[in-house]
Amino acid sequence: MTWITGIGAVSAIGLDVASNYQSLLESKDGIGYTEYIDTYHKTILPVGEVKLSNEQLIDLLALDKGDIYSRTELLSIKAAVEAHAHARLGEIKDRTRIAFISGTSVGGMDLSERYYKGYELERKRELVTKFRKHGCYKHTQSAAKALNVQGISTTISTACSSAANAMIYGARLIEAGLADIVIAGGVDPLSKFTINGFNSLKILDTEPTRPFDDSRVGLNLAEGAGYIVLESEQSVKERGIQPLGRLLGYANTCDAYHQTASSPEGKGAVLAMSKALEMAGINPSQVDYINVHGTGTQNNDLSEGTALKTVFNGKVPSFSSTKSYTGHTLGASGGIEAAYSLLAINNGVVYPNLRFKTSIADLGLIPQQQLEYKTVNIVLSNSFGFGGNNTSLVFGR
Amino acid sequence: MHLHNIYIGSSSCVSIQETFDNPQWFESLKPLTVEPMKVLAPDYKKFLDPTATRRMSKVLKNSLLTAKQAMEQQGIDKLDAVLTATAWGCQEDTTKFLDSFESMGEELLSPTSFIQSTHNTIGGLIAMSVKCNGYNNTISHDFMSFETSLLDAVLLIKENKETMNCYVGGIDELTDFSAGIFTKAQCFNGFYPVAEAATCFIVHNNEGAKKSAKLTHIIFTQAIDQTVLDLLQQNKPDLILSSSSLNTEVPVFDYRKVCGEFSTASAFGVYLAGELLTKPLAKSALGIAATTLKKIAIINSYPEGRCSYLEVEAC
Repeated sequence: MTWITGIGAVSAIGLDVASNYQSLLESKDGIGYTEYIDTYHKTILPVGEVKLSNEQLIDLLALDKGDIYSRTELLSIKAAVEAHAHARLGEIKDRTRIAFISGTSVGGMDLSERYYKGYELERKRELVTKFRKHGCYKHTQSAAKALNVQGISTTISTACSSAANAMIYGARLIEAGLADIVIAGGVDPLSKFTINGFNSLKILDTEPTRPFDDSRVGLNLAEGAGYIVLESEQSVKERGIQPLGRLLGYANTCDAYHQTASSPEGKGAVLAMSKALEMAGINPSQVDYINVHGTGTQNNDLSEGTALKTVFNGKVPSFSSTKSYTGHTLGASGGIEAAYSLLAINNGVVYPNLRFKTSIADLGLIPQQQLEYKTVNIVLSNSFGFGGNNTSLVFGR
Repeated sequence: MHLHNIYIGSSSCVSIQETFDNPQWFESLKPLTVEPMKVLAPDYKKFLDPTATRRMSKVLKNSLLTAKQAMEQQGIDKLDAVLTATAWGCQEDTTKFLDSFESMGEELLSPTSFIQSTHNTIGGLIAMSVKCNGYNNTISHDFMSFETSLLDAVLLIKENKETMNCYVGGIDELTDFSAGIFTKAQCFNGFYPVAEAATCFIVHNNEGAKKSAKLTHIIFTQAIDQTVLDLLQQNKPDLILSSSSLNTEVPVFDYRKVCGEFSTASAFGVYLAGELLTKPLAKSALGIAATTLKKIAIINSYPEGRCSYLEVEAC
């Protein structure tokens, strides 16, 4: 049994878990124009940007100002430090029993896109730093180092399901006895690369996104990081720490349909949700809330909605897309949304899906529209990505 | 972790040697140059549908090709999982997309190179080509990408308890751009040329299926420490495949002498171990001193990257 004993999050709606939660309660989104990215689209495409510059993050984290950091590293360290402290991991003596598994889709792309042109002119030392930091692994290594975590460490890159897959990897490490504690989640920075990439696919909205609404036209690209602390039952008992919940089930499947589009029937999504519920030993009727992937694109919401109706046999429980607050944080989304799922369980609350007006004609599904306090025992969290990578996680009290 | 009932079945490899579709490749070894070395490109048309692969980069073609061939040799037409390890992902498409908005501005860009730039494109394509709806994961963790992906396969098989065929691939691509950076930044030790490869295995737990080696150990440590030395003392492998200098009587052979230097080279190390265990002629062709070859350890250690210890045995 894998327990969860800490969470950490940074997103466009808050620099820590408490402020993220406050924004969720107040239905306050973080969508706006970028302050930090020099792009043609800066006054056209709204994004979910973390409201701190790199310099401010470096100050806040008390890092060496002489070094070069990718925004990926800074956001990752910010959220990982919070999760680490929340779970009181500072008290763990044997640091080799703590693993760090992180997901990201573009790694240090924010640095690469600034520096890749002039590498012939760079001095060797700067080049080594900047180019190495392009690697997905670099933020994982930096955060593990910052936290003095010495167990197994690796980096998952499965686009938008990266953080969720990092949690599966972490749970398996604990199950196999290869770690007692795993900090798992993910991070992605906003970059010119991804803004242009998603724009070339014509799936970005010029307005704040409207997930699951019939009029939806696309997503808002965003950034952030989210981590949870997974812990073995024995370690939880020994430390006498109050857990936040359990990771009851998980499944990673592949739609195997198209590189960027989901199958109309949501085959991979159906498989991921039903397998995760089966592993958890949970009937679909027992699920209290679904934190859907809900990017706000035509394709995702229709496909995911169809899959929801299949898995829940037409009786879909309360669901919402918190991407209507944060935007789509890509590889970080599974981590941030895991934190929101655990907050839902611990505070007995479900969040409204912002800006919903009309249900998708073919589906007739109505997401949660009001903030509602109720008992939340079981949450299903979906993270679906490019390449057909579909992952569902089941969290329980 | 000591393993039972995990096997490395068929493999396939496109590398700077003639490893693809040539079982006796070691009889005609290519000498390494000082310059970066790219893979010997197979005759793609012979193996892949040219229309479907027309817009694919070299790394995607090599990955599809090797996956297809490993499956063929294993005698399977379905996979239960696709596990991909790549340290630097799809470099050609990444640079192409960066170049496109740098040179043409940020409007009216074609999405193809963006779509094909993500690390998980490789695993997604393989899954699509063989219609695999099962577990699909991509790991990108520098020099430990391949080993932590192999561990992923091992943990998946342990959890499922059923018979499974997992594709596990170690893939890295060298472009003129990345070759320039790797060389100037001296990302590697500098003993061997920077290179590239796509190496894959069918990892399974089916005693009755085709096996080239039994995977008996997979262990991660901070460095080549007492744990590793104790393992060597205890398990007494006949040969160590490693780039590190080790204080041991066991013969050590550096596989990078054969495949060149790249972040997922340890996948080639495992490939070489399988070749040595199943093809008696490989040993002398590569000038390996070990007398018998039944058990091989593959040790991968880098200053910042920690250390992995893999051990395989003849079946």
